Amino acid sequence: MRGKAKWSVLVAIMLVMSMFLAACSGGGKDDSASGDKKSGDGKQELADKQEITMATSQDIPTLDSSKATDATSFDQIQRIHSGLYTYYNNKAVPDLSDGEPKVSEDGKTYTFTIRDDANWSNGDPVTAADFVYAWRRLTDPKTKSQYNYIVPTAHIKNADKIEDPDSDLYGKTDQLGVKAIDDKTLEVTLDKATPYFTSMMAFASFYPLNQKFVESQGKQYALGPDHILSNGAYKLTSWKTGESWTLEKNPDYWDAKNITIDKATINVVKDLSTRVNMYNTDEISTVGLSQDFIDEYKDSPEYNEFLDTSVGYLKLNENKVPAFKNPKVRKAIAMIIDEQGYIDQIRKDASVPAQYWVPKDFVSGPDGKDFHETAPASYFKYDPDEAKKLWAEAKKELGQDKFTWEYMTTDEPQTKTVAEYFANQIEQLDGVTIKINQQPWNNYLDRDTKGDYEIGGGAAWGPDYQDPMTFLDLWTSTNPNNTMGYKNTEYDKLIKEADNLGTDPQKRWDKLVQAEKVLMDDMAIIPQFQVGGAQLIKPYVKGLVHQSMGIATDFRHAKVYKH
Amino acid sequence: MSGQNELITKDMFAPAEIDASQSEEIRRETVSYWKDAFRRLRKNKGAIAGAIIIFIIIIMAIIGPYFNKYGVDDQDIMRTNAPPKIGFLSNVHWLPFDGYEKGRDVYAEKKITDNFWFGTDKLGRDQWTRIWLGTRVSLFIGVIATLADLIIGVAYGGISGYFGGKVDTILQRIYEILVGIPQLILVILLIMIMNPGITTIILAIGVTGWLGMSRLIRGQVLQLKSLEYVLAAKTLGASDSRIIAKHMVPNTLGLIIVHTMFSVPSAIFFEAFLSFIGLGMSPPKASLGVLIQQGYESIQFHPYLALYPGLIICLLLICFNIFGDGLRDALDPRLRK
Repeated sequence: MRGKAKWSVLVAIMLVMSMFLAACSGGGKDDSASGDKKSGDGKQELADKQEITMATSQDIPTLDSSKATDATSFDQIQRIHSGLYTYYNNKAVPDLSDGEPKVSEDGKTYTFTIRDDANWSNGDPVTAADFVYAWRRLTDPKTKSQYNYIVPTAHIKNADKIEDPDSDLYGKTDQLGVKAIDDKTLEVTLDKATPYFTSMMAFASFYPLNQKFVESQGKQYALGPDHILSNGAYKLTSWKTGESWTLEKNPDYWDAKNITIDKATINVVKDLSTRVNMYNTDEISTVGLSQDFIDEYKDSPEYNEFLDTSVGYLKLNENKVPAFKNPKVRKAIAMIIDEQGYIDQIRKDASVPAQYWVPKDFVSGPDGKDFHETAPASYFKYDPDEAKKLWAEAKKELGQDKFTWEYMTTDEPQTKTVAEYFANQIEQLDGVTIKINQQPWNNYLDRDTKGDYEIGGGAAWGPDYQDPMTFLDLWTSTNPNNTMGYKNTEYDKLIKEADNLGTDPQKRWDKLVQAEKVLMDDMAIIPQFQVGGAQLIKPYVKGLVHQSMGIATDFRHAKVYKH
Repeated sequence: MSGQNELITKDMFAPAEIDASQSEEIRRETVSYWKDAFRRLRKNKGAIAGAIIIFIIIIMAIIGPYFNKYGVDDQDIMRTNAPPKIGFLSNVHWLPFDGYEKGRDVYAEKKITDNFWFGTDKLGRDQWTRIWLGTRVSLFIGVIATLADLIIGVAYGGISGYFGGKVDTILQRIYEILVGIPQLILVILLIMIMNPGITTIILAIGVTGWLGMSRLIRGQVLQLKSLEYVLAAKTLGASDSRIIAKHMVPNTLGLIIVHTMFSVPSAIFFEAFLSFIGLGMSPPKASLGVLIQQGYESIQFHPYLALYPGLIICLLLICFNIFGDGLRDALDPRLRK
């Protein structure tokens, strides 16, 4: 489970970054059906070329599905590759898996049948062995995948031992609980029942790889259009590093008849105002907005916004600052920060104040209700008077009057404004001085992992799979992400119990709800806001979807009309 | 016509009284080097205007922040992005001080009662206070970094030039190595080791800033020390310290002053550049560079955020350069009539 901490945060922050910076965002919550309806009116005709152009702030870091860690990479990989499942409209649905898998009664064995018409772009069929190879490669310590913790998180048999250097099974990937029964039948054995297992199958790290091809490419694998095979909706046809890349529809994809966009070009443009200009001159079809740009365009009919599922939060390091051990201090800090003001006046997008840790509109329980319909919708509120009262009591208990804390954040211009705002809010507590320390992202991660910070405020957490556990298991006392010295045995117990209750979803759900309550009563971390975004989409492009799970900008079923 | 016919007679002349002592009398007023230089400087209108503007900016940097009650980090999100408004000018709509933005009265919309002379930024902080405090920081960095330049550069160049020989060879090789490393790389490395802030920036500028000065001084000293009066002084047994104090320093002073006048604006500019690329002051403190960088982010929507700090930094740089130019003309003995 090592490395879980930092790399999940990475994905998280990249996700946030893409909200801040990237232009690659899709359309609100409307699905492709609305596009079809419009075309049915007969008012608009489909354009001759079903092509789409977008711009993003960042080049693709990697296309190797075992090594990718960030949102941009995962987006491209999910366009080029297909796995057993894929997300459509934030729901995991079978993709290469021919229907739902057979699940054994104890919930520990999954048997997938792979579609007969699933093929690689070189003509090879996609076989169960391709999955076995990919998963073993991902788990293999030699691959040095930074996302390999996802395999033990899925509770695949022996995965934790294979990744644990102290175990006898270290590096023995043939012991991994995945087996090709025949060419088209894949059997997965789990250590314990995992209710969210199928949703994890939509995660790009679990996508198959063609062993023959990957090994023939060696170090060149996934470095360019000639060095990667496609089995998904699109093929990579060109990739000019730092400039642009092009995706063309893969006619051999089993569902190709439903893929409507034939060609997508994605340009790398760092500056947001340049991207907005490109949008205004019809060079690109969609652009993500932030801050002032939102004010400028929010009345436009092309404007829409969406709520994502990552949560920005503050980490208070109890190991470095003894005062943070006092729950009153943590509560005072949480209540003194005006999140709503921040969102309304500075951020201006669809973010909402997070007075909870598991995001809303993220996952529904066995009863079909959203997590926060069962759990309270808010555990604390913005209340400066109450905060100051708590603070005065806390100061008396601590017997100290002056506090200087360091607020560590990343060095993006946007995070600077955020840090200045939050620091100023916390300084309303009498006697507190906050110093802002901006660190480059890698340094930030490094110090976060080592626990070398006082207040950590540069990260947001995004989910890896559709279950509250991806948020809640972070703060158990043994989780490497918990570098701030928080320990509550009751919380640890609840999480452990929930983890072992895979066969009883309702009971497990109750435990998770209880766990969040314990966490928030302790105010172990300070949730700030659930990240939202805003974007413009050209009126002649319909069905471009923003997803909070899976491909962030999903144009697989989009349509371009004449304009 | 008649004059031509008049004869010049002897009695028209009177013998002049020749007083030998008078030929020694100095008729022209005695002008010292500095007085002369100052006279010449005064004649240069551009330089005087530059000096006055610099003076005003310095005064504003000292007292400007106390003109209103706001501090450098007094945020209020209820008054974000308010355009500049000055009470008695608020009805003159062709001036950018009426509190209107894109035809809308932002002050009325946001119910802001106070006037912000230079507007507010996106956290609702008063730009007036931030700009003058920023100017103060920029000037401070410029002056201190230049002082460091001056001390190290003059000493290094002077020693190298005056003593010559092995000392010169070694010092010049060190100089060449330092000159070979791009300044920006050195600065970035330094900032990575230390925390960003005033001290780091001054150090970063000071580390390499003195190179130009040392080269100039060395050249000057090399030239001076081969002049006959220095040789004469040496022959008469003058010590090194006396030669340095009496001959070297006064004769290089003009050069030093002129070069200093040019390195102040370049230090200010370098700080602004560092802040602009994100290596500068740590928030919420501000320097002109930080303010311009923040203004630049929203220049399409709120141009005033970048305009005023930009204007001040331009004025500072131009005036320092014009004034430095004037000083050089005034102090350079070759221009002396």
